[in-house]
Amino acid sequence: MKYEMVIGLETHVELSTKTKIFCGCTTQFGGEPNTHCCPICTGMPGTLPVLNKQAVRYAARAGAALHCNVQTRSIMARKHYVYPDLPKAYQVSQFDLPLCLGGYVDLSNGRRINLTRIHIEEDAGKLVHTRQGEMIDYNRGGVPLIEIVSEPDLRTTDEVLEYMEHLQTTLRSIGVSDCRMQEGSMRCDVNLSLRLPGATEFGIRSETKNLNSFTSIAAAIEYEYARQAEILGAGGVVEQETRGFSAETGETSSLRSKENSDDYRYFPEPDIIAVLLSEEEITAIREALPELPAAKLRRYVDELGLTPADAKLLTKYRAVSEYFESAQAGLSPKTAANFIITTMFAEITTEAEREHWNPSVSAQNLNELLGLSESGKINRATLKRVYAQMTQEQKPASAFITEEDTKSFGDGELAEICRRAVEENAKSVADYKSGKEKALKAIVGFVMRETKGRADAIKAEQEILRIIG
Amino acid sequence: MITADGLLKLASLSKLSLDGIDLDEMARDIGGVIDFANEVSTADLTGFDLTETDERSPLREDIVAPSVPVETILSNAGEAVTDGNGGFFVAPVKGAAK
Amino acid sequence: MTSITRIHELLVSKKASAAEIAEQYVAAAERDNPEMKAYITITREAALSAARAVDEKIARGEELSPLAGVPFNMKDLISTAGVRTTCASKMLEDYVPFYDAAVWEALQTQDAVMVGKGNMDEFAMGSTNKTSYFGAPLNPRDKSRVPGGSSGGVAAAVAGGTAVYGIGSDTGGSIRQPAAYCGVVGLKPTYGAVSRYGLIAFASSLDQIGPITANVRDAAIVLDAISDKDSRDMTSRGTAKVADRLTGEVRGLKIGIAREFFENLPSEIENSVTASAKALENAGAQLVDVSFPMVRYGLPTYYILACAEASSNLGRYDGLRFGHRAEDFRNLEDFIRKTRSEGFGAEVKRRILLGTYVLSSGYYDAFYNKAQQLRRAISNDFAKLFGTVDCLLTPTTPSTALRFDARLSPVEMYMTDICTVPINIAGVPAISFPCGFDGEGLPIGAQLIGRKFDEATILNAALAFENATASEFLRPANGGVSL
Repeated sequence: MKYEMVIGLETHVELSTKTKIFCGCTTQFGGEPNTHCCPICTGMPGTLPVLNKQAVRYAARAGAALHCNVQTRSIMARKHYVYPDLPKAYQVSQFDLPLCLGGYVDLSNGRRINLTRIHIEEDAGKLVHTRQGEMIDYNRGGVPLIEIVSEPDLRTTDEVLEYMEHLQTTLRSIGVSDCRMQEGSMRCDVNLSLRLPGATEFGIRSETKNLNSFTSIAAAIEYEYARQAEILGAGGVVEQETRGFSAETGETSSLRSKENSDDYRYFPEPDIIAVLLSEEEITAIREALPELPAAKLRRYVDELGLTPADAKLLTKYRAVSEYFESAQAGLSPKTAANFIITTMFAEITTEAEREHWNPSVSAQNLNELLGLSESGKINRATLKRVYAQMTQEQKPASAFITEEDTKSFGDGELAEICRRAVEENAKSVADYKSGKEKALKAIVGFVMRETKGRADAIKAEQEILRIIG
Repeated sequence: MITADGLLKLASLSKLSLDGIDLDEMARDIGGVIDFANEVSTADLTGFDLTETDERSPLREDIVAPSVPVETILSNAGEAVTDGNGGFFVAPVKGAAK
Repeated sequence: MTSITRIHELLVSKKASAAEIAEQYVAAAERDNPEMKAYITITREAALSAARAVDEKIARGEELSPLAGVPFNMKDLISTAGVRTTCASKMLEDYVPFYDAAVWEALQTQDAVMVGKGNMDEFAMGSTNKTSYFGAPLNPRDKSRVPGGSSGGVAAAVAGGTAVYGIGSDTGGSIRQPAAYCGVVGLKPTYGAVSRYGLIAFASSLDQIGPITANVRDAAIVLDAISDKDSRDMTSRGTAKVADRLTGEVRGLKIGIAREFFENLPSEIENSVTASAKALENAGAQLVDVSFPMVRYGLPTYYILACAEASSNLGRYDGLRFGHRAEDFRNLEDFIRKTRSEGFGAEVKRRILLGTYVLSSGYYDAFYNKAQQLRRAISNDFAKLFGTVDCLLTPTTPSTALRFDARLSPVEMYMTDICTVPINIAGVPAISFPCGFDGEGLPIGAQLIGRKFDEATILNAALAFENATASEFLRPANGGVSL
């Protein structure tokens, strides 16, 4: 790439409170238009906002989880602009004194992406384009949002996507949002400028708004890079402007330029003014944070010995990591990890199922089953069979394990069968001795068939090798 | 002091039309008030106590309250359409209203 | 003038029924309104229905609240479900709210009888009531003069005998000034004493609802009825009940006389207010000379803050969900612009433009921010003064009621608020009470300003003045009902 990309993100996240930020209307997704409304969220004359306690808590929790300084005093402010989805012709947001300052996200490539701030604000309603014209639905109006603003520290599309994924995983794990981009509970604006490698000053940036999927983000960045590179390459100047992205065309287009940009005329919201949190409250919120996914992932790799890839899969959703931790208690972590990832994940198909993972086999029961397998009391075939049975009936493993299953072949008995296997598979023995490693499997296979799968294959292999010499 | 041009910019931001209004007269009127308001610039606040006293207002518990029926929400709208069990406010697009 | 206490007495002693009383007031309002215009909407059926319910309570021997069956005028910017609420503007000419203001809820639980919605300056912006889309009310004292504003219609109804009391709102003097011009009592409670839920906002940090009454005790009764803390308004604090604590005793009360309020006054007003100070001194109060130099910044500070908030609060009037709609337009933006331009009067437009100006980038620091700092300075100065005195006594207005044909520039108009706006800036309570008449028989008002949430002290002092002067200045005007 000829130019270096400099990217900053503004990410809007809907908080998963039950009610809107200033009124008691439900925030439930998908209601029929204008059925989740009241005089307050439709901006009727004479109405006043009453701030949702939980929204403040969730926002502070998000700030704590992203390593921000949560402020004891922040100010709500009115941001003025005119658009039909904004009933009061101003959005109540935060300007001069936001709830959180600073913060960061650490990427896997070792780079730290600093955050500028996080603030609370209300969402606008929705403009729906129909054949009869522009329709306005205020159901979404007033849903609490946090806006997470990053410094222009991102440099590649991969970094951007990892950053977004990190936000998703972290915010989900602390229960403040479901971060579902396809449902609009998370969206982002990309601020992008180019400069020559080694340059220290920033170029002029464009802002592409309202990207609501990872593919859109990636495509918009790609398009903007190409567009700006062409302008700069021809000796031109990039215009500072706001752009929209079309998923159909994969292109961004200008929405408005700086000359026509709004003067938001921010001033402190007189009906609320200050959002106050005591130091004790902030400390309590910070201390109540669960182990965050990033820390958990490091622990799974460093202490439990899992691969980063496996650790990432297991830490993505709290439901999964909690299950895993219970299931692996007292065992080799890899045992539970492998079983969950290869066997159990194969049973589900959607991300939503993983997010709200609730397997029919309880973690406790799985732990017991895996323990039996790890200690050699049952073999792989039995493990598979019993697991399948446990998914049908909620009973512990012992309900399905017979005496046959746990019959272990005493070393003598096993040795005898192996001796016979070597005797009756002379060709395979010869093949193995002449270098065909695979021939060994055939001999082990004989032992397994003879024992109806109940012998320990690894022990059998060892014994056979010992006999062969 | 404010010029007719400045007035038009303000009108644009305020979403007001000044068609048919004597801009110079209005500029004089408003300019007069701006000059009057500008008196604040002469205030010397050194030595004054400017501390803010924040009072903690009780915040609202996150408990769902019933929403207002959609017919009522739409009851003052000049133009609205029903849609299933819900309804929309119609944003007028162009032409004379019905 | 008929008082709340008087009506209550008549009802309890069964000398009159609530229905009879209501009928008299509604009939008087209907008869006088075409000329006097104190009302924008008269709610005959609802008033009589409420009155009948009171009579049923009396028949059952149930206890009556002090306001039960007492006819009143509600300024037309307070939300009344099912009854149009216009703010005296073409913008809301046909707007019918679907929820009740907290104040109206409170009054209904007390079986109040609303005669109708009071005329006012458009969106509460004005000091003469001449900006009303429905035509200006006349001052019952002198029909060639304005009743004051913005609660002009409310004060005129009380003075003119078509309501026993009124509920007004005060942002820069809009209760006190019309009360002074019409010769009645007007109380602006502490900011936060009365819930603003349902009060259609002009300037959110300055607006406050309060009573306009025939005498001081009535003001206390009404205040008690509407001053409960309300969780729907984050600025609401409520205030202590006062009616039962009024003694009329002012011995030992320290009353501050701030000389800055007495500069450039017509002699009749100066004499009248000074005489009221003397009367209180004779009753045992102590007069203390004080100074309040920051007062001179009150008006510019007020107009910056009020217009800024007004320009913001009035942004929602765009014709999309309620209110006036333009009929001839090119596109959505044109629709909104035309709707607003057609719906708002000239004064409202001026204040919106001004508000936009003081908030716009490049001017915010010099105007809005500076005004906020001045606000804090003025508030803290008030607090300091109240360390040495218990209340301040000032004139309410620098003149008596203006003539309708008086031509004042916007700034000259704003100057008439000079004694009242500092009170709103600081959020302290103040009461205007009649203290004299000028050579033409026009009422003169004096103002008592108190500490935050200490309405009791100023009500008490005003009551003491009434007692000391044997209510000499509480004279009914011609017209209306007299019971």
